[in-house]
Amino acid sequence: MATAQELSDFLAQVERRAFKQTVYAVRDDHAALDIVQDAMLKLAEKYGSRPVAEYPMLFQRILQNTMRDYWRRQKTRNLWTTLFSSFGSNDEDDDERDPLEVLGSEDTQDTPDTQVERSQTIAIIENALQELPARQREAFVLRYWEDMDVAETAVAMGCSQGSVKTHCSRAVRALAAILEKNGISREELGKSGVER
Amino acid sequence: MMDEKNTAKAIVGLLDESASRLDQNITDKLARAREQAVGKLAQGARSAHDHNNRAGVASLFMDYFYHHRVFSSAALACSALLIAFVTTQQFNNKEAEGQGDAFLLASELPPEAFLDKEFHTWLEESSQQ
Repeated sequence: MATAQELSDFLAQVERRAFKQTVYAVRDDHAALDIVQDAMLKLAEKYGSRPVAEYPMLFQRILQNTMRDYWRRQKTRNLWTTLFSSFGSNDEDDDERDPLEVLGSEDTQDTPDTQVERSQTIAIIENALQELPARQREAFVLRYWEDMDVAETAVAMGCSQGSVKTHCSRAVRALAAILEKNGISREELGKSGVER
Repeated sequence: MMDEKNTAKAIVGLLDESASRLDQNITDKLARAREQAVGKLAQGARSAHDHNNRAGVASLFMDYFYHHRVFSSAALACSALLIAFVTTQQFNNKEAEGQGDAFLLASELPPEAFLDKEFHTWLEESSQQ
């Protein structure tokens, strides 16, 4: 069984990435925080007795499932909202937010030119990730960002290894295409990307 | 394939950088969530410990009953004896009824003779003699 300290260390290590991943999926900081918090609590409550080595996979599965639950709830809520709004007043002040606006507000510090360029590249990548189909984004994040191998990613996603490879390949191609469209070539990306 | 991996690595490098520059407000909230989760784990461990303690108390009672099972054995033996007695009594009664039937069937007179009114008169007279 893992100790409280081991759980704390593990969560400290993954929480930021988990939050970012969730933001890309749900496009809402508050909802993302709730989802990550839920996932952390579920991990501690239900799988606290498991060895620490199993935590990364378990946490990812819980996180992905919690995101899916969120989408299901959103779908139902949107259905009712659409239904009722068709009877209500036509407010032009929709709550829809532009992801670029949200991302733009994150960087308020004055930075040198290169830093600005990097921030812009990151903003483009994050926006592109949000635009990816859910399964492609999930595969990309688990395989490359969480550094899982193909088999682990397949287990976490509940699909075949072949599907993981296809999703990953399509995701990378789509991201590269978006970056090139924005004037960032693969070479430039390689220079700005920090080797892990 | 290699190109794909390199592109992915470069993208991930930038994503890591972005994750490391999270807003202080968000990192504080994440830290609070982490503390809550760790608290849950400690709470779960405590409740498991309590459960074990309760199991210990229960096992003490079980030991008591185990060592005092002679009482329960005696009670069982008494019950068995009582049941045997009742059954034997019932069996004896049935046997007596069976013997009466056997006497009637073994007599020289046919069974219809016992139903005849004259038979009773003869029986009374012969008993008076």
